[in-house]
Amino acid sequence: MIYVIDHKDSFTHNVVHQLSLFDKVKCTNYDEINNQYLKKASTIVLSPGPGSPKDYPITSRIYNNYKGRKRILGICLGFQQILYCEGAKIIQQKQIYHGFQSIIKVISRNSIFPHNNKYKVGRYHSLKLKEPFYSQNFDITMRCAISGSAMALENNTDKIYGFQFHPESFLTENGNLLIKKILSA
Amino acid sequence: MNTFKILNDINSSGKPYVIYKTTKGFDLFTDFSKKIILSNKNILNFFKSISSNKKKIKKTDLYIGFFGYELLNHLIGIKFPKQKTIHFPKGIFYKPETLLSLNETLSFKAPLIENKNKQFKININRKNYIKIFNKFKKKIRQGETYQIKICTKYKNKSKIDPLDFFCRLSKSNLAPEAFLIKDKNYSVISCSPETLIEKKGRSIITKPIAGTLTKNKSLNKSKALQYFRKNIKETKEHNMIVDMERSDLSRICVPGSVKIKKEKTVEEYKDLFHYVSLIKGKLNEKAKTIDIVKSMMPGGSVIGCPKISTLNLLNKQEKENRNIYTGSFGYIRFNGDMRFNIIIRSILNFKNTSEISVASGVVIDSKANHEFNENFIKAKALIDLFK
Repeated sequence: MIYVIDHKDSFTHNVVHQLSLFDKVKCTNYDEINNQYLKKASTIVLSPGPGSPKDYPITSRIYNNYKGRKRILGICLGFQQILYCEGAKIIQQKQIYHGFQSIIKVISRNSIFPHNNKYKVGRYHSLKLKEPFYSQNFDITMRCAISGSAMALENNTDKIYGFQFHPESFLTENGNLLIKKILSA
Repeated sequence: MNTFKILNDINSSGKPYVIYKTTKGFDLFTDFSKKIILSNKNILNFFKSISSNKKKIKKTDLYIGFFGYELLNHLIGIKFPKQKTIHFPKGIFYKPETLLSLNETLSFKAPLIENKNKQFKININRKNYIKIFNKFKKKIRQGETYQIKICTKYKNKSKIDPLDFFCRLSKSNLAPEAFLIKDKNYSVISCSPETLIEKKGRSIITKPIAGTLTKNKSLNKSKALQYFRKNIKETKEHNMIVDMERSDLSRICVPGSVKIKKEKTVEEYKDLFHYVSLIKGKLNEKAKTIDIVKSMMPGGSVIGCPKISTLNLLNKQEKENRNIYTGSFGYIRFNGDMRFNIIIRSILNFKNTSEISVASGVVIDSKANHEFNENFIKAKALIDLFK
């Protein structure tokens, strides 16, 4: 079972539907975290959402608690939340991408996705990862082909994954494949 | 019976009635056996009272009316700060006993004496608008909202004949979701273009509009499409709304059933082009009327995105109650089928005061002056009716 923590976003149920193609999914609001679901889930998904990671201390606690024990996937805000918990700074970007389709590239040979593969993806983010960023076992595996901003993280030791873009957006091509690969990793 | 006679009869009878656009013409609902005034307290009972398991129903087995903006916020658990209010009901539904079909061309005998006033007062001037605009832009940079619509309101005092207004409005702008409510103490005249919900059986569609282009002689439909496609700002705004509406539908639909049936197409109206998408889904077996309403309303395209945090930002900012504006008008049949629009481009006349609310979107690359003017253009089509 996959448990999605909804940070009250307007895209979360697209994520839920996408995940439902592969497994049973439960989803609750950030205000109504369900401990039973947390315990039962094999994968915890941190949804997109407004604001920045520091606004969601409960999500940080859940991440720290389950890191290494369950597969964790973060999308957009969820991606930033993982990085934030790993000591990264999340900052405002000069150029803001909301509803924007851009091309991203797999830049790491350690990725579960083929090196140099390109994907067309939908983006909705005001904030981004401040680099350089380093944390043990974490790799930034995809970047925006134009700006070079971090677009995906992988920690294959602890099975922690994150996308800055939205795999569930209609602007993302092959989003289902990306999710499938992570759920079977 | 012909349209002219029906309209004359109904208007001189003094009976309350509702007119709603259909594909071929208009439907007129009257002889109301019930009028339900909704409040935060009775709204849940209202939904419970609609038994949706009836298979065989009459054409008049429905409730027609509207949900105001504040009531829709209440339904999804959003708290409201204290606002200036004219104490207009939060929602009203009627049970009609008579349904008559009208032609597309509406006309009737010269109206009663009207006392139209051309002067309108706006509640937010340009200077204050720019202030709010800049504040919201900062919120976008911080990621608290990705798109937010600032609402301005125009008001005046005048005694109007709603049917006269509606007939003239549908002549100049025949909108697919146009409606008129005429009751004893208030009326609503609307040329809303936007379908929020059309539910038949387990099929549900929504048709968000994001992107408007005023017509001129050199523009045709395909040129308008090119304009929208090339305009990155319009495209991004529209994309955001499409993903949001997909998500709203996904909340109540069978996984995998939510599909974009028409992606970014142009619809042509008398004075403008709209950039429109159509999204369809198959409802979960368990989805009740109230679940559908809570999931889809208030309609996202006129609020911004993400809905909850954007609504909170708006409500904190706005000093005056929106009343009907960005609420929804439509009907719920007793078999559970329904049709609802988004209440925009509307005049609310209550206690001889008319109010027209309009909104335009702030995204990261919007310009304050441009959006302020855009708001006025949207209001002008309705303000012109007072001439």
